[in-house]
Amino acid sequence: MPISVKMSLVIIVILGFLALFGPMLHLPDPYGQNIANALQLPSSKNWLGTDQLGRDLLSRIVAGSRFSLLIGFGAVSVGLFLGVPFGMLAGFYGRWVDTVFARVIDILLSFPGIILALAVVAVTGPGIGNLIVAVGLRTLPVFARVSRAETLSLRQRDFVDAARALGCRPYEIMYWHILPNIAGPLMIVASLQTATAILIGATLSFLGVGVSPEVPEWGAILNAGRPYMMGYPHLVIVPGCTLMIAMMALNIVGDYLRDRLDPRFTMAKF
Amino acid sequence: MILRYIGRRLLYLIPTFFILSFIVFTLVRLIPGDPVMAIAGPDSTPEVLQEMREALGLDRPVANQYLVYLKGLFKGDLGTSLRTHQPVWIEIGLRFSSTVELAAAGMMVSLFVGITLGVLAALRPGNWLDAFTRLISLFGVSSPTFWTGLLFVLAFGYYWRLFPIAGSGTIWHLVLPAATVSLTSLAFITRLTRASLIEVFSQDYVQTARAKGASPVRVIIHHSLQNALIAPLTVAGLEFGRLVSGVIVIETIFAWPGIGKLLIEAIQFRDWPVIQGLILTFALLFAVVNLIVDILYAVIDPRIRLD
Repeated sequence: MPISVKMSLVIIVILGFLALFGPMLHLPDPYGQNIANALQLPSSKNWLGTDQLGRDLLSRIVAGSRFSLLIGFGAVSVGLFLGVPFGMLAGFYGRWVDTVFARVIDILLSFPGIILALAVVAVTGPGIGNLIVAVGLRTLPVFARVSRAETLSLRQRDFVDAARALGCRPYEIMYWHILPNIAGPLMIVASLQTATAILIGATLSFLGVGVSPEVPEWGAILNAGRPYMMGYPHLVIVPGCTLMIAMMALNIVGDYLRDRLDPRFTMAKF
Repeated sequence: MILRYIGRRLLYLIPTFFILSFIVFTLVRLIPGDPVMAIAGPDSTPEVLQEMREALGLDRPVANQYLVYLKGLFKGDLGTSLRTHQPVWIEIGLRFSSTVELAAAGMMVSLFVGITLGVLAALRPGNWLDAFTRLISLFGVSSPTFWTGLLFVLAFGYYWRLFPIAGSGTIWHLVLPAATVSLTSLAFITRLTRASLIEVFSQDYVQTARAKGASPVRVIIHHSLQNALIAPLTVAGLEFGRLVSGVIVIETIFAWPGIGKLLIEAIQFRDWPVIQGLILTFALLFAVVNLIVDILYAVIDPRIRLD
């Protein structure tokens, strides 16, 4: 395992630890305002300084790890739970079901980048739940496409015929026989999509249409610090670097998993 | 042959357009709350609301509304902005060219710089130049667009004061936004050019060209690059989606007067006719760019079957 992957794993474990046990670290309240203590540079009292409302930046970053990971895993779960059955049905039944489903997937994929998520947020309004759904819908076609392709190649196999001969119903075949076989590739895609989902969530929050402004999500913290960045660059450098390091770690581990577990994807890695 | 292919691909745009317009229409109808209430204000009497509903055609069945909406689309009528009371197509039209300017500049920078860096890295794999491009690529892929943009503003706008950080007009205004928007795509294109060029270098016909005494420059440009460029160009098309998302964010950071900034403003003001028009515009723009890339792809590589 290369050193970069090991370091990335350490970073991910730390982030996971902060997300789970952050509240037990006895840091200052991430929501506690104290105008008298506003816009302080990093010091022994506030290790990363304070923001324009006097809230401790370190506490907000730690609390933000929980929100960012929640958005990442939440969105990927939405994409998995909706996208995988969709793709499996298309791949399993083929014919007109496949034609219709494949067309819908193509059209969902034809919305470039964050446009689909922006469109959903425009409809539902801001808020963390809406954000998770919006980003989840963005990942849905990716999971649908992978599970469709994998199912398509599995449904001709002997064990599927055997299951059918034993009298399994179609949904039993899909759930008990096909799903376990496509779980590997799906997990690889999921690990890479988690990074993408966190990034899209942070982007929408940065644009002010994601979580509500007081929520300490990393993108929202960055957006809140923007007006003050000329005099107090730590307000944008801290959340920006946190986000960048997290992205780097997740991408490196995702790429490594893909190369190790699924040689077919290696070509796609350029 | 190629003309027939282009014609058929243009025909494919028609169903795409209908389905996209239907999705956008349905999506906007899902917005909670009464749009009439939003226009008229909460103090209006029921009579005024009813009158407005009739004037906007919102009292008719949904299928009927969709037909009216489609008819409007063909006449270029996208409705009226709730915020500025201007026709939506004027709002979009005024800003469209700025966005195309920024996206085109970004795409050009990422193709030009990306391919150059990729070629330099492929010449001597493993040397310092290769390591340097690897570092740029890792930064480009991992750094969120808005963070790169803010870093550029801090470094080149505030600290060294080299370039303007907001607005548009001169070529200097374009430098920072275009650099930011190109960075992610640049990273991918660099890695891809490097990888496919290294692969092509090992092919027999390149060895033959070398053995015949062709100059290194001729071997790279004439023999290798033409084959090696297919993959980066395909990716450039896919990258356009990423670029467009980048443009939305970057226009907001650099106060660039394009349709991305307009979309964010429209979402914040819940200006649904503008949102509707813009999403359709973005999706169609994306479809057209993909078409252009597919055609370029066929022109560059005659081996690709046009069916």
